[in-house]
Amino acid sequence: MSPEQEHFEELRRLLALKRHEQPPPGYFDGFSRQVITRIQAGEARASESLLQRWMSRAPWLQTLWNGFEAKPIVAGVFGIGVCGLLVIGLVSSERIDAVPNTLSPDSESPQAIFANIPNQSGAGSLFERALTDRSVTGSVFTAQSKTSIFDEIRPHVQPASFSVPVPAN
Amino acid sequence: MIMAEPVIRKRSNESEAPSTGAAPGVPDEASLVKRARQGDLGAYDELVRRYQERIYSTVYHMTANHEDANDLAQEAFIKAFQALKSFKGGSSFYTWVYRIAVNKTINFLKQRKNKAHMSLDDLDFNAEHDPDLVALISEKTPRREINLAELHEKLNEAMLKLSEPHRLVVTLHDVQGLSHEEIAEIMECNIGTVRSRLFYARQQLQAYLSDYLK
Repeated sequence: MSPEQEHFEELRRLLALKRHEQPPPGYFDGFSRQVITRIQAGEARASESLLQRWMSRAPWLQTLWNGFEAKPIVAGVFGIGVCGLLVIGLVSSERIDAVPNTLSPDSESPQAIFANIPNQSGAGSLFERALTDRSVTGSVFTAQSKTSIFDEIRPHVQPASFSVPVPAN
Repeated sequence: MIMAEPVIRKRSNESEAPSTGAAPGVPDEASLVKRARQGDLGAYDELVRRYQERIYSTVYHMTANHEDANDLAQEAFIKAFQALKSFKGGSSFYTWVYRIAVNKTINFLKQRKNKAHMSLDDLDFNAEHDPDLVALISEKTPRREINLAELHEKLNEAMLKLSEPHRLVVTLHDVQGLSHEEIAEIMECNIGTVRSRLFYARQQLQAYLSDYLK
């Protein structure tokens, strides 16, 4: 054996020291169990439902779900509340549809409004004619019957009162 | 998922050499792999038990950290299970898992910035009574006052100075006792490369530890 090989032999004997490096006692007793558990957890995660994926992304949803699971009465109340809101929404929509039929269609119409304006020198008829053409003082006003719930919030145009000079005969 | 009945566990001599043959009453590796591929976690549990110590030790000697070695060894087995369907059987399962663990470890070491140091408490009690080590310390070491813990520390420092491929070759050959052929298969290189890396790594260690060797 050459001196270099002898040196390596010494080194190999020294490296054998590393064989005595051991993990904590009993470490290997639970190693395979941990591996199997992690495999099972990974498979469970892969097969989890869409709802569970959402829950993992939205912690508040998970909290809500946990609350339902812990107290079924809360789930019941929540369900009743949702149903109640749905019913109220349906009833409200029916009422809104019914409102235009109960109101006088002409009570708030532009024609009715301008009918109350004193007719000065024929100005009223001019406005009425202008309204018939659906164009008043630069504002767009659409005279439509109320068939939409948005009719209630549609801004009403209050035309300015001014007099149009009429040449005297 | 199939959970088979617990298989008979072979604990004796399992860390001495990879067993691919079937002893009487002990399922062979091929049948365990086949069952594991079908989702039998009981069979895979047996495969993990067979090779856990060797895989862990290799990763530990590479990372010099128990926690890292624990995570990497577990992840190697998990990845191996997930990839079992792609395991062609061209090599033994043991070599295949080893390769997965080694690749994961090398990737981990490339990412790790700060290298941790090994704990001197990791030496087990038997080390102090190992005749080779006692002789090495008491007779062959020029600095006779050196104790086992210090020698261990110097050895680990020297190991950490090696590059990952060189450290791996030394670990697999001189610590784990694998053959050149097995190492070549694990590292996916030819035997000549293994020999040259081993020679270079030993030279490096020899230089680092010159004060502690004859």
